[in-house]
Amino acid sequence: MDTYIITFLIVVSSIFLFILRRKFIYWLPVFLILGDISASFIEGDGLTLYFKSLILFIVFISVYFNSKHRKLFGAFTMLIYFLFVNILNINSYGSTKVSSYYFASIFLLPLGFISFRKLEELHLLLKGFYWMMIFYLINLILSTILNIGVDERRTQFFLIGDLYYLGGNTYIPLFYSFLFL
Amino acid sequence: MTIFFLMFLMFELKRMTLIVIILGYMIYFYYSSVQSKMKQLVWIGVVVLIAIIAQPYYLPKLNIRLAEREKKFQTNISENEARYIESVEFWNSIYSFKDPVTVFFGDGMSNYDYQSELLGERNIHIEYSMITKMGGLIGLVLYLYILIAPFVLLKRYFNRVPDKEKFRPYFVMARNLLFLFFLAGFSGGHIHITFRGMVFLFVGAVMGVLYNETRQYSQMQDPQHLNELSADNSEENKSESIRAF
Repeated sequence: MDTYIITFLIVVSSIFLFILRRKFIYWLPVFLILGDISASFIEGDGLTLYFKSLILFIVFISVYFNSKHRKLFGAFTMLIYFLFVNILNINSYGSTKVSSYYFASIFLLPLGFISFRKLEELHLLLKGFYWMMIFYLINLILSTILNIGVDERRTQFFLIGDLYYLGGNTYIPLFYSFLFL
Repeated sequence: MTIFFLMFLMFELKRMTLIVIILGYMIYFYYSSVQSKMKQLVWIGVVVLIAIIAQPYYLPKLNIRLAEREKKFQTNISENEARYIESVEFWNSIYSFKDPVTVFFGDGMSNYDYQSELLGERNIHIEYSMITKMGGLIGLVLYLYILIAPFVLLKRYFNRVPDKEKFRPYFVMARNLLFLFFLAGFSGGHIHITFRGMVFLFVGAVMGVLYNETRQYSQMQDPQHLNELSADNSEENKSESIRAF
């Protein structure tokens, strides 16, 4: 349970940072990853991610209704639809877990649109991504050394375990932002 | 660090990983400026050099990995793969329209397990099958809209930007990310919020920057705005001249 509380505090503090100064949003990926790291050390990370998603949802709503851009790509159509489908299955743990992934991630599109206006701000975001990857690397090394949170089937290659927590093929596109920008 | 991660990803020898890395890079390289292409070629040379020098360290392990993954790279293996079987079975059940309500509206967000005739009960791996299972065909269309709309809007905003070369890498990167995100969805494993969040946040941010740039440019082109500016300038000049006086 401690992990949930830590994650919750991390996310809440990131929101406060965001509210205090808009430029702090570039730390958001770092907070996300810190949450993931704490979640990776326990079994059943659904609730932690649910917290993060919920908080991101609140951030989005607060930003959205303070913005001039209210017709963003039908994101809300998506929200209402999935919310409706979700309500029908609200008693299920899985329902909150999976739908929260989709909710939270899609909300970040208009959130990014509203929050970033200059190229310099975009560079800050990339800086945030860069630090995020460093945190991931530390997590990989630590989890391998401590033999925690790493799937044994996936530790067969190299000493630092596997890139399972990098998401295998899922995190690849991110590398382009470091490589070429 | 990028090179380090990239090499590890390559050595994973996962098919979709290799496809996404190589294809994504080719797209980026194609749209890069000549100067950037030259710079990238130098970096490719460095990576190749590191790979050659570090051969004794990774080659034995790479061979072991290659032996493990060899079957996966055979062309006829797909018909025996769980994901292939799962997809064929699932989409056949959708096309059969046995239960139209489920086909259009899905089984609900909690129901992403699929009862396969050959494989038994398992999570659906392919992203688009999973969305269809949970949200039906309507859910799938809405989900694809979320991916396609930014792809189109990015191009629209970029076309209106005056200094295209300055913003080109970001534009290419954002579109590349969206495209690769869509492509990698066929392999599955896209449910992690962190990864999805990064892609959407970055794409949204690039769109925001491009939009802001086009808005500023169009404001500068607006005659009324120019008049207001010149009026402001003349006021400033006046006050400056008064102060000077």
